[in-house]
Amino acid sequence: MFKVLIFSFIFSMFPVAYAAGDMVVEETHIHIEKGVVYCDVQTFNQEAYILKVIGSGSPMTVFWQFEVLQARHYWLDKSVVSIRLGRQVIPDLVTQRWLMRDLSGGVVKYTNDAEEAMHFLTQMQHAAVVDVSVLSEAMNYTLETKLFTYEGENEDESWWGSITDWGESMGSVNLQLPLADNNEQK
Amino acid sequence: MVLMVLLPSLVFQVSANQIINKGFDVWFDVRVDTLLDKAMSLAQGFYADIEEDMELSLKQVIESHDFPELKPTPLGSLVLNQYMEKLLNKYGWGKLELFDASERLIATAQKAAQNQGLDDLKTQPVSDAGRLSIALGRYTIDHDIRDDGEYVIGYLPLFAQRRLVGLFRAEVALPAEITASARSIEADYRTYKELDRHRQGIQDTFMNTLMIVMILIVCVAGFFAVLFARRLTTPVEELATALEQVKAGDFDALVEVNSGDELGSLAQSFNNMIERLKYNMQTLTETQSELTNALVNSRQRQYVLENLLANLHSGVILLDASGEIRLMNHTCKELLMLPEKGEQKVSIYDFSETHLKTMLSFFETLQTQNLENLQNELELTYGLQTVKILARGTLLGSEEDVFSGWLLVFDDVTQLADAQKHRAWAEVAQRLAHEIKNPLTPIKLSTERVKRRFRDQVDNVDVFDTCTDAVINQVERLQRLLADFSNLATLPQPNMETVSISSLLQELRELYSPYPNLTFEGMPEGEVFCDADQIRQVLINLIDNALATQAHVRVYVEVTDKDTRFYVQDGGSGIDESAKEHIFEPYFSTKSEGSGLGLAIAQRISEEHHGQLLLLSAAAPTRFCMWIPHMQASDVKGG
Repeated sequence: MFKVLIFSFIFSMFPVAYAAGDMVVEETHIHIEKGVVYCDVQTFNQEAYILKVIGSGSPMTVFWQFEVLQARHYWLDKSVVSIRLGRQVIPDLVTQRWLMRDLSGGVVKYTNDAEEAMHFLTQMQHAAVVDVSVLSEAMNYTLETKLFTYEGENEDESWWGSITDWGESMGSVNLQLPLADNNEQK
Repeated sequence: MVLMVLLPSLVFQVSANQIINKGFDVWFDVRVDTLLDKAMSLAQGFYADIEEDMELSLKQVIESHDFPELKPTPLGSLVLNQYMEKLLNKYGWGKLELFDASERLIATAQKAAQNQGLDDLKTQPVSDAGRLSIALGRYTIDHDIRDDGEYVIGYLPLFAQRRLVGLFRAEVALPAEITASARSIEADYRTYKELDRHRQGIQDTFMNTLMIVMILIVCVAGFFAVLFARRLTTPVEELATALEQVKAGDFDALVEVNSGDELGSLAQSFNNMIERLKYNMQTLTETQSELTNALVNSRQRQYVLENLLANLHSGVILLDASGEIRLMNHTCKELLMLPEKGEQKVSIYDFSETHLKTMLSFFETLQTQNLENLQNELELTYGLQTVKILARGTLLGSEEDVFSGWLLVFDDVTQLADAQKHRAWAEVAQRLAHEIKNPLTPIKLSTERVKRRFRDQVDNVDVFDTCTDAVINQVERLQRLLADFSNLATLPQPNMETVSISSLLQELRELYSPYPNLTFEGMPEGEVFCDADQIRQVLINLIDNALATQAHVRVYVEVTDKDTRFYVQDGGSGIDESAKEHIFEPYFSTKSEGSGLGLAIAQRISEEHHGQLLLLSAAAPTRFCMWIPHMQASDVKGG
């Protein structure tokens, strides 16, 4: 409660508009499979924007950030693990093809369907987040997901970009390890 | 100044915003959008046509009668080579390759091209589209972008009894000029779409940048405007401040001359003016100080002079050339018996009163005869008082002098004249007493002896008695006369005391009780400070003179605030006008038996009492008045 009060006070200093923002419609699911926590996440309110960008021939790069936080009462939550998965779509308008590139795995694929390219960016299925061995059953964890979108083939690496770009929160999901066999799907 | 800076800036900002909005509207005009779309469609159409051609060619290959019979033959097989060359030539492909099921190149047919090197003979690996073609079992079209250009590639799998035996790959090189143009169109289209997508942001960025630049310009311009204005106004403010200080009397308030421009010239002129002003003020102050000192000295002298004149027992009148009175002290007013209240005397010619005519005549003599000095003794009679004045007139200055006029000085010499007269008569009396008194007694004794011795021997006793009696009577009269003279000369100082008026009159009433024609009217209460014997002697003298007329005599007393007046009035025939002027002179008498000293002694006694004996009326009824001022013992001792 104390922490909530402190951070409520701190964040009350920021513009309310930023906190309110546009309504983010997203779906985030996690499941544990063979000792690994996977996450399926999809955003809907970015689809029109991304489709418009790649449809007009501009490359689009997105980064999905998954961060597992250990809850603490009197201080900031502790970050246990954080991974960042990138995807990129490079349009080729004259041939009406869209190159889909997985920046993390290096997989490259062409498609003639712009919507498929769009979904390639707005959906992240079966993303391996963390190995359960890192986590403790006695602790409460939260998986927070953020989406960083950039127009172009590179992310914004400027110093002010790192300050101002906080990403778009896709929501948070409680991560509670089952006491029994944790190989079962949650 | 703020408005002067802000207003043009606001107008400029609004105009710039309008221009930016208009510029963006022109830039992102719908015609440009349509044009780019059409250009993009053309480029896409070109690529699509090539791919359709490839697709159609592959479809024709599949549908040709000899394709199903084609079987894979070993590399270098003549039949296969001929067939591939046939396809290459028929469909205009640039290169045709045949891979086996393991994606190994089996055969290649390629058109010779200029500047073709060994690198051009390299075989590209089978792409995903080729594998897709194998997986789907039908032809696929792929697009490959290489360093030497762009290619449209078609994959066609070969099956024998439903078993993949090979894979054709045909490729057509796209014209470099067209692909370059298409890519340029694509790049422009992409750029345009990006700009269009960020149009609002760019517009906001332009406007914000312009606004920030405008604010900076306004601030910088305002800063320099303030600096310039301060540079202009500071000297003016300093001048105004210095002017205020000068206005407050501080003539050391000089301003700094920091420039050689008009303001510097103005400051220099101001400093010069202040220095001159300071010098003039110092001179003025010194002059004022000198004038103040002179005025103080003059006032002091005037004060001393006025005090001197006020305390002077002489009357002083200062007249200018026209006879106007410039100065007249209080003593003069008293001497001339000018009324305290009434018309103020402005000129000597205002002295129109009767008793002042002699004084006016004295001045006219001085003026008309143009005398430098004139001295005369005047006698002024005002009511009961007669004052002898020694008047001295002096001509002051001349016509060239600043002031010209006359100075008249008057001294009351009444007492002095009387004293001189008394002293003269006293000397005469003493001489007469000395020269006459001594032989009178032997004459009288000898005459009495002659009368006793020779009375019996004379023939005419009557004549003898008459003569001897006459000698004896005249000698006795001379002796009385000498006694009076002696009294006049040796009149003692009065023994002043407070005497009741009623008791004094009561004594006289008892003394003159035998005279029925003498009446004492009234017995006023009050006291008079005098020598009772001498006052009684005066009254007896006056009453005797009155009784000598054989007429009715009235004696009455009037007591005023200042004096006590004793009146003696008789109903006689009066006194001649010729005798009136000499009646108080010694040895003047209208009676044959009188010594002529009675009234003179009475006058002398009155004066010794600081009073006066006056003949109020010479004609019938004749009236004398002796007035004695109210005095105290201290007054007598003091003066």
